[in-house]
Amino acid sequence: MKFNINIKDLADALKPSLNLAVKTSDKEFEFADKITITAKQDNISVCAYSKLASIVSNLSNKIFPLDYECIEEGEVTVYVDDLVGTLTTMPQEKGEIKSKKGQVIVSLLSDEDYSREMSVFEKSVKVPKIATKFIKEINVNREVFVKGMNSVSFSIAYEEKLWYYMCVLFEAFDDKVRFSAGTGGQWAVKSIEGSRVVQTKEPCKIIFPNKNKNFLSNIMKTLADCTDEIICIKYAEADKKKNIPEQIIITFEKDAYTLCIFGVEEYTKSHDLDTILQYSYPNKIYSELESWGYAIGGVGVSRHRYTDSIHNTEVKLLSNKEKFIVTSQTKNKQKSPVPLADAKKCTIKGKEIWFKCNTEFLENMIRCGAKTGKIRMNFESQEILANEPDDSKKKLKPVLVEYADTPNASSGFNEKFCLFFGISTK
Amino acid sequence: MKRVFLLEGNLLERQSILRKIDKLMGDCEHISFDKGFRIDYVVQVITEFNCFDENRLFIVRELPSTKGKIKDRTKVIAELKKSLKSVPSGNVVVFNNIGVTAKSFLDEVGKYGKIYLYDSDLEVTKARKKIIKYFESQNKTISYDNAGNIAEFLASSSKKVSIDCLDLFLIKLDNFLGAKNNVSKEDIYIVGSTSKDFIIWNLYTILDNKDFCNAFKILSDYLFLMKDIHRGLESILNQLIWKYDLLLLVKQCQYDKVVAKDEIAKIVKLERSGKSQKIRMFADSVNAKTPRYSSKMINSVITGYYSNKASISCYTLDNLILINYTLMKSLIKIRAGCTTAETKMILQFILMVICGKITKKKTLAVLETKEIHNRLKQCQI
Repeated sequence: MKFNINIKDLADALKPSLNLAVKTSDKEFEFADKITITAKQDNISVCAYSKLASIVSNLSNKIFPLDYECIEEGEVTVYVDDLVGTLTTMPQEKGEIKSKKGQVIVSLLSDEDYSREMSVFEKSVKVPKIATKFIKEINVNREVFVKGMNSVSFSIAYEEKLWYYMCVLFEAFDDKVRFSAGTGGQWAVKSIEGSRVVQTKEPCKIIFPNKNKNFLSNIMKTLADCTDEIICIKYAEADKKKNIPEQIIITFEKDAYTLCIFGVEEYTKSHDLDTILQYSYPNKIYSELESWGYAIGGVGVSRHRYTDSIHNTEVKLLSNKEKFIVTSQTKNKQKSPVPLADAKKCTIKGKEIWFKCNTEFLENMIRCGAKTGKIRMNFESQEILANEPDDSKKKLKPVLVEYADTPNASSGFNEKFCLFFGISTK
Repeated sequence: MKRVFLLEGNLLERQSILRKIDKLMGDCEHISFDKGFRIDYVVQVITEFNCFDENRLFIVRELPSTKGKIKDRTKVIAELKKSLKSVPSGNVVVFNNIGVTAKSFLDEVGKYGKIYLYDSDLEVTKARKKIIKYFESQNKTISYDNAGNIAEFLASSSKKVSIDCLDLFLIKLDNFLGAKNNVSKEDIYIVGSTSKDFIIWNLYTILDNKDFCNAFKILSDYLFLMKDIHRGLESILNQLIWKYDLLLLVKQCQYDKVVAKDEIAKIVKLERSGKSQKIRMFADSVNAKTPRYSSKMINSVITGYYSNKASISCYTLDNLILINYTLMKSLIKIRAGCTTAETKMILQFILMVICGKITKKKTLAVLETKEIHNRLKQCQI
């Protein structure tokens, strides 16, 4: 194998493979950190596989400014971080890459004294078969997709024993996409609407697994760096006869990259978010997000001292219905007021209005949504449980926190974000 | 439906209750906790309403841990106790064999839920009945003696049989039998031959019958499964020394016309401390007050048990002295270090001596020579 190529542009084009093969890979896996480069007359094909996903890149002069010239066709397998490291630490000129006696040699055409060698592996990276028939196909605005996935990523479960929550649910409707992730106790939902947000034949759902803590965030980093306006997401069922596993395929950068996500078959169950988002809550109370900052900050102070006990906070509406009183349920009570906003718009039913929840959920409420603006808290007062018998089957809906819509004038998209979390009885 | 359950005891009965709870809960989310979970997390989750109206079944399989390195069991139990009254509707917590049977904890569980305490051990006689009943229910037969043998080896040195071990052994044996409807001694040997207790217990009988081939097979099979063959054989030799010491003592008592049972019962178990050349054996600790040989064991070698003949009648005093000498010398040789091949030859040699397949003169010639390896080779059958 031997070819000439622009050093810098090749390094840039290999970044998606680097992100996948190195950053999301189980280090014990046989193809971890490796890529197989196949030099052909018209293009270079690069394969990387991390067990959770594979990426096949077709790098050609039509899409990338590589100035690629194939001198001798061939195939080599090398450590991708070694190769990218080598390329980025050389002058950004045209260089020659060739394989010779079990080594890959990268050198500059202008100065042969620049010569970097790296070891070659005999076994090529083999990626699972890529499906050709799909049952779901969605074209989505790339920026919208990356933004949506990143907005809910804080709410993905990371505890491996709760693996079934280690995922993001992506739903596509007419002119609207919705992203949601939850740990069981708390869920984050981001919706983005607009006429050019999404194209799909029919509303559909796709669950993106996130078995490795940084898996989806690394994929989103790769997608954030690409130049396409629209990316195509496809979903294919397993075809045992053809040895094709169930997979989600994302093609981007003018189809130069084909990313396949595996392990999808384990995630079959998705929750119906509308049962909560469209529920008619008796209490709908507005407040300013900034005023929650002091209250939650104060509650958080009492957290570090008693780390082996649960940390709950009570949120109670004063009888004059002018403010919430936020009190930590700890030995040293941290009490702070949070005034209501738009009192006339608020809906309040009953005399005793309060709930208790995990403090962490309230901390996420001020940290992970918008930083300022109004929020609307929708909840059922826990008081209704007070007179229930011990064996009562009465259940309470979670507290739903809705943030103000954020319309984007330039793109014409409207973003909505909300959180909901379970209340605690302790 | 109750919101808290506590299950303790044998696996099968606990599983049956768990299945009933699961059925009552219907389609629900299952969350299992073990010591890898922190107590604050567990309490937080079990006292929270589910967001989607789903029922949740929490199975606590082990006590959760605290943050520090030191396990604070009391604190964990106290936190769990406090949380039980707050388990909301839709959540069900099952403490599945967590080993907490303190009255205060049981009382608290009793207030909000139900407690199921099952036996985990059975007496040998009851175990034997259970074995016979089990095979009857499967339309198979097992003799009284064979059922007793299974119960005895599962009880090993203790007086009781673990119900879990017994249930698993019966399932294994039943699966092994397949369509065959009579349980023979051979079936029991084959199924139990990977258990050390079983090997030792049955080896005594096989050796008393001077059945060299069976003894060698059963021990070879067992040692083949061991990672460290030397340690495996050393452990077996210690057990044989224990048994043949007893036989020698009984025989000597018979020669001296002393009541063997009374004299031998006076020998106490020695406590061992230290290692290498600093090993010390002493009899002044609490454990050392227990006798080295139980009266049941002494009785069994003098009078036999079930259909087995009395061990003492199978050996002469001369035999026993030679066997004990061989066992001691072999143990020293193994401890001094030898290859795996040599270890196997020593095993063969010991069994030949016990089963009387080699003359006293040849035995002593092998044991006294420095070139034991060559001598052992000459002695092979």
